Amino acid sequence: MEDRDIIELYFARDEKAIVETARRYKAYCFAVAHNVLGNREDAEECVNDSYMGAWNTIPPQRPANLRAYLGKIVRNAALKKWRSRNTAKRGGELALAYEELAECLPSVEDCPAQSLEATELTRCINAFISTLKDGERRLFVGRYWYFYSVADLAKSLGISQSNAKVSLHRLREKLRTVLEKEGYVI
Amino acid sequence: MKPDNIIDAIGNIDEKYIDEGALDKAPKKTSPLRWILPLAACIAFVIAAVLLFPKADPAPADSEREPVLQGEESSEAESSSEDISLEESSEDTPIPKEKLLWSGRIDEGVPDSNLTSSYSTEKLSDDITVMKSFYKYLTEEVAGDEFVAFGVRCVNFNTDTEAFTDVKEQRQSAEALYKTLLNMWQELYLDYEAKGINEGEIRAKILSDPEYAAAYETAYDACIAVAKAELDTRGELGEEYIKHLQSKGFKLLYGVENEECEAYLHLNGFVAVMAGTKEQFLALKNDEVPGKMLFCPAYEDASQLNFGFSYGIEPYLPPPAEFTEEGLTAKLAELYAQSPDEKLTVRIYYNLRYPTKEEAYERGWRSLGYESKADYERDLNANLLDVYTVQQCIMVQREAMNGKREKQAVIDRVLKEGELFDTEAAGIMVTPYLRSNCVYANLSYERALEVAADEAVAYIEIADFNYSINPIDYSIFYDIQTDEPAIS
Repeated sequence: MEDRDIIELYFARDEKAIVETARRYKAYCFAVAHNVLGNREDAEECVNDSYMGAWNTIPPQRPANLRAYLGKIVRNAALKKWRSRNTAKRGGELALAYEELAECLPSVEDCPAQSLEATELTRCINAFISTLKDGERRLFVGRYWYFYSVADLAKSLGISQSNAKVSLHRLREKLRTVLEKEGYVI
Repeated sequence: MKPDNIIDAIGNIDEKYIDEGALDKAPKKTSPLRWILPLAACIAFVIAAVLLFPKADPAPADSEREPVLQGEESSEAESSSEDISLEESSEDTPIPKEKLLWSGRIDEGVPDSNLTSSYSTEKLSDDITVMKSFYKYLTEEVAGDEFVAFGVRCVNFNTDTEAFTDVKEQRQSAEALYKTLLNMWQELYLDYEAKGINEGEIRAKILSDPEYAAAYETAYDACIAVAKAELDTRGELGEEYIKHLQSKGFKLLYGVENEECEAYLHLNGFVAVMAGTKEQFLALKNDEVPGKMLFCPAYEDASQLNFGFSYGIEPYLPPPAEFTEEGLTAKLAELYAQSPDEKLTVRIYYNLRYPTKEEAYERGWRSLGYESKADYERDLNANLLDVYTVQQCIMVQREAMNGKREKQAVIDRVLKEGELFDTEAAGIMVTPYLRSNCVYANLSYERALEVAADEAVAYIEIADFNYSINPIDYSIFYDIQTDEPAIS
């Protein structure tokens, strides 16, 4: 089933939408979550959550690219889990207090200033990515969006690991310069 | 700006970049050899198969996800190029997992490396004992053409003394840093306590103390650096040796790059699971290289093992001097009084005498039915014990060393049904190969007093599950993911 048909199922509130999404994108979503979490069970849980996320947001959203849309949802869910897991392990009182206070704060989406800041940062990063060469772009997105290992990226792009590491280092330096020019304090 | 902000912002980049960035869409700069040779081998094999087995049964549908080996037909072509891995030429007729002889398992795959002890000689001798027994098993019970899967474990067998010494020094240095941190915490704690500050405020003050924070950061970084350095050393050795083995005709079943199969890489040192025939395996006995590498019997279900590794530190901290029985009782009363819940989760610290090494050893050989140590060692040295028996014996010895039976006896005696706290569900890592010195339980105040009064219990305290920062009650566990998802 094509993406557009799956999206129609979502719009029709037909639960087959989730089955078809899983059939088509389970492996992809799992890989995204697993790269972040490194744990099969947690990754599977995130993937299941992401189906629910898609169900709850389509409609009104009508993603132009279902795969990337799901990828975003699962990545966010996985990062959230990763952070909470790491907080539980090594957060300490400060981190716990921070979390408790965070509950009192509006979410980024609800807070115009923060939302604007986040959007602006994404705009900068998008602009930065658009200046990259094809291989650099894949390397950057692969590493920092998908969290692929350097080894996997190097293998996939047909370059040596040390080459990949050096390129990533240079990309980070470039990004740093771009962000500093935009007034971000890093 | 925190890395989190950047990570989140990158999460919202244009979807076209996301889509093209997935590895399945990334173009590979493949060398023609990477597909010509497997293709040629494949064609050769198909021709041979048609000629030899015109009505051969199709492979079972579910064999796709099984670990596979190429047939002999392709091995010559492949061994001519070290670059060609098993996965890359998997179109070749596979040997299903059923035909693969798994060579057993050493332990349960739980990381037992401890910052305070380098790779122990006991562990090394365990491995050697298993390997001796494995060779015997291989020699006597395995047919020549059977494939044997085994783990390649990168242990510096003391031959690479320089690297070994480096790691040892790093560990000692990290240990010293932790001791400094611990002392600093204790001094600050006692100072603040003398000023009448309550525990919660003391913690906050210490954690916001710049000197402490700097020391903590240094120690933490050192710890990570140690782990990473060790991992890197072993990783490099592993890669080098895997290539060497591939050049000898061995096949890589689970490697660190094999995401689907999830190779097992942590401080225990497994870097890959490989397979070869009995002859190939035995031929390596005279190989020059294995001096710095160690083969281990492979895990039967390597697919269940996680990527990355976990590293546990659980030092034996004596109870602070102020934790007297009376003080503790008062403290408990205070904490229970503050709590709206009837029951609280407490840590119960064992008051155990762990078995000596000799006693643990004895439990091991007795578990095999031997009446005397001499009898056991005679059979062991004569290679009369098979690999599984030796492993079983070692497991019993390790459990004994860690006081498993004694701890269980305490739990059975002092806790009632339903009181034991499910650490696994709470996400607390349990490291059975360390001498974890406490157990968690949900207890009412009255029950807590009863338990604390038992002679097998050293003391109890309220568990706050606050890991890592406070060395007084710390158990530091951290995961190093395949790579940390952070921008440095």
